[in-house]
Amino acid sequence: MSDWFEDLPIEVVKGGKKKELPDFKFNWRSGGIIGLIALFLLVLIVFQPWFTVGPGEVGVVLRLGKMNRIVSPGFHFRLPRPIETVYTPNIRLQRRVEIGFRSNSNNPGATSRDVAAESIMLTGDENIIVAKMIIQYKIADPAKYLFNIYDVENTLTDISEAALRQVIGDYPIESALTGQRDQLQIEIQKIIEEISDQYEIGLLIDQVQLQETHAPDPVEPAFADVFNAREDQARIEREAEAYQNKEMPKAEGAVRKILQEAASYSAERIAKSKGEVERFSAILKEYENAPQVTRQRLYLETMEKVLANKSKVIVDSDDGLLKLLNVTPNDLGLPTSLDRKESN
Amino acid sequence: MKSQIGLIIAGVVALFIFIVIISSAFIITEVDQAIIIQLGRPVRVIAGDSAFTDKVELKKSVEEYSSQSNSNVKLSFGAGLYFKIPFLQQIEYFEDRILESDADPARITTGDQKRIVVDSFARWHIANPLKFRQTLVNMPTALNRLDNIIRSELRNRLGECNFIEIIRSTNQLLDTKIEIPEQKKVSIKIGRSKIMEDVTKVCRKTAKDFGIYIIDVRIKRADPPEQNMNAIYENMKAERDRIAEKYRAEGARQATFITANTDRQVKIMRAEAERDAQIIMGQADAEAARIYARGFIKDVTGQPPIQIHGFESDPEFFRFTRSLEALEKSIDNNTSLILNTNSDLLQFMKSPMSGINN
Repeated sequence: MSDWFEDLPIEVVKGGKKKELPDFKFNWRSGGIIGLIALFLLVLIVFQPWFTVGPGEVGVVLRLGKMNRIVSPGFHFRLPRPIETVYTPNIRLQRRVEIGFRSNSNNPGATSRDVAAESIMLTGDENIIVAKMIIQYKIADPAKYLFNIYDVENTLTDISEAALRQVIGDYPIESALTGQRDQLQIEIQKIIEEISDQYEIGLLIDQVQLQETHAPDPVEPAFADVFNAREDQARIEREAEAYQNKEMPKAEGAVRKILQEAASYSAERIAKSKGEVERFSAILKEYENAPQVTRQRLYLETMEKVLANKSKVIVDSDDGLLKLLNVTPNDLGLPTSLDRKESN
Repeated sequence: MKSQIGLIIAGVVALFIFIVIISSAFIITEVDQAIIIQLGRPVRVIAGDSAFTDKVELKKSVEEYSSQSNSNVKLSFGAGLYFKIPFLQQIEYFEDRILESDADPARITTGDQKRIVVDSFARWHIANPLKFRQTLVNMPTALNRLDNIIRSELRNRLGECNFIEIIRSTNQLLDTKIEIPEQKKVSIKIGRSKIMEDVTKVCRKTAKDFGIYIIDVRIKRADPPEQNMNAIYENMKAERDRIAEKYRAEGARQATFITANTDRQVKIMRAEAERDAQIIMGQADAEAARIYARGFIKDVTGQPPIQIHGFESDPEFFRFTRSLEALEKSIDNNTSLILNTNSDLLQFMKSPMSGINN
């Protein structure tokens, strides 16, 4: 092996100098062209004076380190490498920063991992809340994005965390838990955008999403009880309203009944009076025609009606009554009229 | 052979020239700044084009350095191709991008003697590479120094402030419709935003001596330490219990109000109805009495109206007929009657001819 190594270069040198020199001269032209083409290809391969920009990307070209041009997707030429360098950031890609948790980017369905240090914070009324947030963003200005900030994503995370805590710290816990989440999101986004502008970070904040906000585990039952209490309040009030809804129509019905009864009493009373008066008027007319007989007749008819079917004791003379009362004061209903007559 | 040696010499010279050119030319990109050092002394400053570099001030600073050190330091701005003397001069690169400083959380006692753990971060930029190189030499020293500056200023400033000033930025909490316990409705005078601005200003001034421009210092977290958490949780629980109790009491109060109001209204409605009924009946009674006394005009459609006479037209006859009626009504089937034969009715029982002889 070592022999073969030592011998080989000597042979090549010896053979090359004496025998192949004329051949080289003979093939100068054709060989030169081939050589030039080969050299040209070599230069192309080594320096690669072209580049492609993929869909959604932009090509940012630096010439001698200085920003020269920004090109759109497609095939482009450039000067060889030390002179021009190219960056191709994707400006369409929706990027995201997560605060308080990290989702598994390889497996979107998997449960995310909580980052308690980021998610537990103080509210304006000195309560503690667990709040998580997602910020979605895109590259808006590729030059600023590439050349202004050392670590863009980490910077955005810092800004977002500060903004989240600043806003949560400005509101009572209730706002963050339920009512004013939209407003909080808007405020957080405003602060993130303000700071981003200050840094000239070159990003567009698409969306700030407050994820779950809840009370910390140790006090969760107390918060749940407040919720229940609110339900209880509503229920008790509903029950009272139901009572009201039941009682009011009932009372209205009673009122209507009372008034109707009064109305029917009135109608009856007047009708009755009219009837009686009409009857009286009719009899009066008769009476005026024959006063004596009519008077007698009325009297007798009435007495006839009164005395019919009633137990009676007929006493002859005035003192008979006294006798009768002395004998049987308690037996007035007994049919003893015959006896009495006989005794008389 | 001679020509070959000449060729080799020519090649070596060409190579040497090439190496000289290569090693003397260098590129400063958009993210770099640099200082060219010759035998340990800076001779040229290439500063970045960043918005955070005050060019006028930097120029003044470089001129000042030149006159002090009795040398001529050149200054240029921006990325591009630059040259230096090979071997004799070295380049030192510095970042032209915004850098971060994220110190470990610091335990701080606030003005109202509450202990908090504050985690802050800062963003900064090398505004004066020459000063930076002179005072701090390299990045690790710079970061260390920045930590110290920021941490001590935070400690000073937060130590003067009440806890709530560090948590809140505005007083909008006081205007919220959500109910908050009175003792927590504290009006703040400074607030977190303002504190951060103040800290930034002071730190910026200090860091300027190191060629650094501090863009901002921000409080990321300001939380009570772990061991204080339980006390806060206890407070939260008590507050929630109170709120829950209030909701229930409010519900009961409202329900009682509705129920009582309903009962009252029902009573009023009934009473009013009774009153109206009495009025209606009274009017009817009056009307009836009038009709009894004076009669009425009977007006049947299709016939001429007739005057019906009331009882008043013959009071004596009314007394007679009404007495008879009363008599008839007051005597029912269970009544026993004792009649005297002397009565008008029975007078014919004894003497059928009575009256005629009279």
